[in-house]
Amino acid sequence: MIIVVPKIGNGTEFNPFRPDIVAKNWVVIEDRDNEFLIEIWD
Amino acid sequence: MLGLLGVEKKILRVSDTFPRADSAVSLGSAETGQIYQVVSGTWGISANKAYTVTDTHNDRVIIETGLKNAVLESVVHGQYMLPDQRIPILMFRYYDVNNRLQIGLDNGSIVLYKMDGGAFTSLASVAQTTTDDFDYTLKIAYTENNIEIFVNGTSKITYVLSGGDTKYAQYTKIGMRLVKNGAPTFNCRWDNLKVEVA
Repeated sequence: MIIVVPKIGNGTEFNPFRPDIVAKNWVVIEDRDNEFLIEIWD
Repeated sequence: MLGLLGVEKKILRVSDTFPRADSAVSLGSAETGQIYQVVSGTWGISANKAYTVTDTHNDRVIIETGLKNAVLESVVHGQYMLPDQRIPILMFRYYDVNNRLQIGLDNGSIVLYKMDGGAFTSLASVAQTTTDDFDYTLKIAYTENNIEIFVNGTSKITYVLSGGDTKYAQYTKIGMRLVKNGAPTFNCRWDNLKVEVA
C-alpha cells in the first residue's frame, strides 16, 4: 500500500526524520518537505 | 563479468579479514592494500576483527573504493536492542562527514539511513531479529539508483534513490561507524570486510 504520511523527527541520530507510522516494514518512495510518500506492507 | 567457463566472476576491490596482530592504535592497511582513513576516534584490531579503541559514539573510518556501483559486505557483531546499544554501522556512498548512506541493525529492524547535509533521515526499515552479542552478515548491493540490502543472505530491503537523493549514486567511499547509546556491555566488531565490483 502506498500512502502519504507526515514527517516527524528533528534529523538527529536518535530522532531522525522518519514517517509518522506504526508499521514495522516500510520504504520511502519520495522524501518531500514535510511529508513522505511511502510503501508499507504490514 | 564472465570467466572462461561462462561462470560469473566477481572482481574484488577491497578485502580485509584483519589477519594482522592486535593493535590498539591502527587498523593498518586492508589485505588488498587500501589504507584506512580515520575520520573520528582510534581504530584497532582485536582477535582479527576491527574495533574502535576509543569506543565513542560516531567513531568512523573510511576507505576509498573508486566504485560507484559495488557490493559491500561485512560480518558484524554488536549490541542492538534498546536501551543500551553498541551498533556496528556500515557506511557506503560516503562523500563527507555530512553526506552518506548507511545501514544498521537497530532494535528489531534493519534500517537504511541517509545523512544529507548533516541531517539523518530513515529511508527504509524492515523487521529483523537482532540478538545482542550475535554475528550478522550484512550485504549492500548498489548499482546506479538501486540499492538492495541483505541480512545473513536474505534480501530485506530494496530501495530506489529518487529526486535529490540520486546524488549519492556518485559517491565511492565506504566505511565503518559506531553508534553507541546508553551503557552497552557487549562489544562491537567488524570482520570479513569486502567490496566487489557490481
